[in-house]
Amino acid sequence: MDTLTPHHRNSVESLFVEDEAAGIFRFSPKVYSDPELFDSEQQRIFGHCWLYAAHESEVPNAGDFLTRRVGGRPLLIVRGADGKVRLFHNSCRHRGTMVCRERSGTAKNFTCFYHYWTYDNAGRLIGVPEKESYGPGFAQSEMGLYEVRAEAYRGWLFACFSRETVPLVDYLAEARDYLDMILDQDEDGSVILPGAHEYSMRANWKMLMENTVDIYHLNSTHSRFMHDYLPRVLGLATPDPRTMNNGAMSPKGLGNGHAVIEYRKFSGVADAAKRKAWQAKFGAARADRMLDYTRTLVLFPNTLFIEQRRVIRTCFPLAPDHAEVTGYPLMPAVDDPAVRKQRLDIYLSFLGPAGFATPDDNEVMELIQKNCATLPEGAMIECSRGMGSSAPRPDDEAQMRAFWRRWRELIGESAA
Amino acid sequence: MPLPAEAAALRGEIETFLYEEAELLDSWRLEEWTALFTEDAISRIPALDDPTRDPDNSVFLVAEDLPRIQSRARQLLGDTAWAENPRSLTRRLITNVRVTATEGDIVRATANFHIQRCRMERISTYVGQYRYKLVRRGASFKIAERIVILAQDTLRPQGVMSIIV
Repeated sequence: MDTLTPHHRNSVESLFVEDEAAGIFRFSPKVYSDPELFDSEQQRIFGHCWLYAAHESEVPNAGDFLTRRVGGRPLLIVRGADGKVRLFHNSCRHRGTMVCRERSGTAKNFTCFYHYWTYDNAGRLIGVPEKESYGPGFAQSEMGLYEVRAEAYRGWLFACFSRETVPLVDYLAEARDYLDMILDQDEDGSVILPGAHEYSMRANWKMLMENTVDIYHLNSTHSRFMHDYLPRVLGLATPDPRTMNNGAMSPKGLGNGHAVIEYRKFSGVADAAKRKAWQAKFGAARADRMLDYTRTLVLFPNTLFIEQRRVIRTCFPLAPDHAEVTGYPLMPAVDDPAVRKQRLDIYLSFLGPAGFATPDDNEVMELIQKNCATLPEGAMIECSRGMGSSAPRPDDEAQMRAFWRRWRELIGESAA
Repeated sequence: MPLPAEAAALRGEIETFLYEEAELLDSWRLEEWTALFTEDAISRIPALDDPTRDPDNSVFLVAEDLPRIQSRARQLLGDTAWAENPRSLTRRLITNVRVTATEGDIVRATANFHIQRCRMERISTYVGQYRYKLVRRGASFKIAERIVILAQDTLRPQGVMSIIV
């Protein structure tokens, strides 16, 4: 880890104003625009935290592979002939060339086209043309692709670029229980369907972490979805913002910067048989909660799961004011075709580069970004909603404050 | 090789129809645009990596029936489609029009497009191919299928796609 001067630490603290008694939580817009903070994030967050990389269902069979940038690093994710999924830096051990240039496929071997060095699907170097030219110190068995530390939780594969970080299950903290509550609903397991949305925003990556768990903006930013699509296409009543959060759980931090909002489903009642079966399996209270509530989960730093729309969404920064967003549809592996169709419609109508909501969210975040670097000294972004409330609601901002407190801790902490 | 007169005339009719459609979109006459579709019309933009998948088992960028096509148009014409308020300036170049099949009153046609969009000092372009199933209705056509195949592997360069492509 880099060394932070006391000056830097103080300057990170000074980016925030937090006053519990007054109910105030604010931060400087520099958190979205400052290049030095961006560099710190690269090391202290993306070089340190567990990052969602892929789902095991994307590489179901031996030899199945995909290539993907995770934390800015081009990775090769491949299920070896031995059945194990491994993550590698997609870079030849000879001169560093990207070895695999396809998005996905199935392969026994990967050959770098620069000099035809060849690796098997467990990452071992198995072919070096004219190998006799190398000296006795050239140990081919040690020249496999650089492997990335990886762990899976119930099919979700995470990568970590630090050896020091705690194991994934500990890192997930209380978020694990929420993941269980979500994934237990897919009784035959979950799969990522093809067609991930890949788009971008000219805005800081952290804004999407906030925006995705912002219920407050639904009726304004997404007015057209709420007031045209819901009533006129789906025939559903537009939820009343004054009552739509009645009966919701309080949003909360789940440790390590993870957070959740949990609110009553807008529509739909589970069938009685399913409820009875789930009550027997999970206990009455938990089964009712799984069926009647829906959750949006922030897995710190940059992974989101919107249960209602069944999307795993990642957001990786390219620059302080530029981020790439990917939405992966996570669906039950076994699904009634009519229900699957409905799930896809719920997904697609709201989400994605051409959805009825995502472009408006992008617009909001890009408009924030335009101001970040130029506001007067001392200007603050407001994040106090519901602070000090005895019964915070999902349209408050406690979930965002949980994210920011962890961010502040990681960016500001002294060198290990 | 000159086209037989009849085929050339049909292609001319299709070109006229597609140019008129493009003009409606560029001039934001979206309600008139939705009137070009049949009752059972579909409008789709498949995933960029494989346009052949089933929209009931994979995610598209757009997969709409007429009520959704009409909703999209209404939303864009309303004042809360923030990503298009203020509206984009667009111009579409429609070229390489080809009739690929005819059967009774149905004509299948493809055309290439190049759309330039400018909004708030940013320019984006969308390039690809339209695949239409048109149904003859009197002197003109109705759109039964409008499939947009984008010639790009990701939308990251443009960010999002808030206009009708």
